[in-house]
Amino acid sequence: MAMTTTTKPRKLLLDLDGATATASLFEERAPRTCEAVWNILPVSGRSIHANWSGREIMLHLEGDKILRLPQEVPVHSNYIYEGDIHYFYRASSLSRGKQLAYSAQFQRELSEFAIFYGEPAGEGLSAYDPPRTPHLDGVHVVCKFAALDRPIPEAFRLKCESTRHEGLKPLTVSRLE
Amino acid sequence: MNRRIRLSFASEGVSALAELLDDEAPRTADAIWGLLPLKGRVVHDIWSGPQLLLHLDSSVQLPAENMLIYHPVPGDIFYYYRPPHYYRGAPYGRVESAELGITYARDSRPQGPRGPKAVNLFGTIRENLDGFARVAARTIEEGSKDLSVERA
Repeated sequence: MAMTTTTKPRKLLLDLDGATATASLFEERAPRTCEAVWNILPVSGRSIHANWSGREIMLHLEGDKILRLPQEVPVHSNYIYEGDIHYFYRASSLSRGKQLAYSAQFQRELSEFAIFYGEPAGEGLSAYDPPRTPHLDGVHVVCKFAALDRPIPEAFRLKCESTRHEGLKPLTVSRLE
Repeated sequence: MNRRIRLSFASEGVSALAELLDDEAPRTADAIWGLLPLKGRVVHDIWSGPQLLLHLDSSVQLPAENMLIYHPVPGDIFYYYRPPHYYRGAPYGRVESAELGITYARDSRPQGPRGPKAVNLFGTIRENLDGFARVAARTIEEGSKDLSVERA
């Protein structure tokens, strides 16, 4: 009788200023993105609230954690759901001016996790920056690679919302072992 | 001469002077003038880019006037009313909303969860937009701030 082995699905743990949630990777759908993300974990930074996409917080990747990944799966604008976690990359050539006041490192190049914590979210990562397949030069990428496990803990959701009213908050994304 | 209003971040010691568009939006300008002075917490918009919102009591319901949909310029001040359940869910935690919006930098566009929204453009900042914009941008990092709006 052949032995079968099962691999435990890999999961993420998100800790936003003490409020936690777990997420499941879409490894079959976006294996290369998931692998790349897994390999840089844990990552920590200050989460910032979205200004274009509704109930979304972002974690900008810094230094050697920056991922510059190719597009892996087709993207459909306006199909963002509560709990979605996207990887987003925008090369410096695609942004005008200073993008984020709080960090000199991310004034132009942007590599981030976008975490859609509530409804309504979506319509795009910005009005002029909707999720889309890469430009011809392949420098504008978004990939839905994970989703928060349901039910999304209310404490986590409220903490996400509070970044809008209280400002940046520490966020760590790590492997859930 | 158009009427002027002062927008102040008291805790920051920063004010800007704005002019009401009395000719282009007389009813809206009158109505807002009548509400002054106003004090409240401004929050950064989460759909429209570089914009601040000051929520008004939802009983402040004004008719459409001097409508703007695309391409506000930095300094533009507008009024917007969203009837109950106009959008699915409760954007900003509100099923109904009356608000003032202040555009403080380029690349903004008044939007709600389902796309662009039409707003009553009734004022524009004429003095110290730069100083106002610096504080406004910091609300992204620091959270909401107290803003007062008064007759100047």
